[in-house]
Amino acid sequence: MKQQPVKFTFCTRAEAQACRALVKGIVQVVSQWIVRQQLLDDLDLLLTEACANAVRHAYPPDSPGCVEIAVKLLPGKAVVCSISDWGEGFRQCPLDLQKPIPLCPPEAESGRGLYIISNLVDKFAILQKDNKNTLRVTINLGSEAWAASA
Amino acid sequence: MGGLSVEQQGDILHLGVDGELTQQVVPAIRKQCDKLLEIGVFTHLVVDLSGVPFIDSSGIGLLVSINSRLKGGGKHMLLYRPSDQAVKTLDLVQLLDFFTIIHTEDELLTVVGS
Repeated sequence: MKQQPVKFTFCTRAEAQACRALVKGIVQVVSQWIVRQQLLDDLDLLLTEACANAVRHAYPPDSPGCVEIAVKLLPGKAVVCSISDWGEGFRQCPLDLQKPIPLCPPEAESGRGLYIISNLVDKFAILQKDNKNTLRVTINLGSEAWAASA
Repeated sequence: MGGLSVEQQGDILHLGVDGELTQQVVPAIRKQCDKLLEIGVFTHLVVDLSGVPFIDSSGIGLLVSINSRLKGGGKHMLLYRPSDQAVKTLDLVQLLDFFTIIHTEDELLTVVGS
C-alpha cells in the first residue's frame, strides 16, 4: 500500500535556546519514521545550523521574530525540510546557488553553517515570497532508512 | 545547559566542557575562556570534549578562536575525546587535521610529555 506523506509544521521564536529545543523535538518526532541514526544526526545538525542562521541574521537582536520549520516525510523516498523566517535574512546575504557553497578557511571563526547544510542534503534551495524567506532542503532516502510501518 | 571545569596539572591546563557546544552557550563559554586564557600560565590547553554530545558551527568557531589565540602565544591546544558527532562534524568542515585530536589518556600523555 502506498504510504501517504506526513507533514509537520512547527514555529518558535528566533532565539538560540528555543530553536535548539525545537530541533531536538523534531528529530525525536521524525525518529518514529526514520530508523537510520546517521540521517537523524544529519537532520539534527542541518536544522540546528539553519535555525542558527535565522537567529543570527533574520531579525534585530532585541526583537526576535518567528522561525518556522516544516518537515515533509515522503516514506520510502525523501525528507523535505523548509526553514523560514520573516526577517531580512537572505536579502542581506544573497547567495549564488549556481555554485557550490564554498568552505571558509580553517582559521575562520564563523561562516560554516551553509556549507554544512549544503553538504548534508541532496537539494538545497532558497525561496523568497512576500516577506517569507525559506531555506528548503531535500534528503533522498531509500526504503531501508524508514521504519517498517512507515 | 552545561558548563566548564578547570584543572591545572603543571604546565597543562585541562578544560572540561559539559553539555552541547552550540550557539546558545558559546558566548558565555567564550567569556569564561577569555578570562582563563588571560591569566593562565600553561603550555598546553587540553579541551576535554567527552561531555559534549553535540557541536555545531558556533562551537567549532569557538574552538578555532581559542586555538588561534593560543598559537599566537606559542601555546598548544588539544581536543580530547571528542564524541563521534563532533568528529563527524569536524571532518565535514575539514578540520580534523587542523586540530590536534587525542582519543585516549595514553595518547595524551605521549603528546604532552613530548
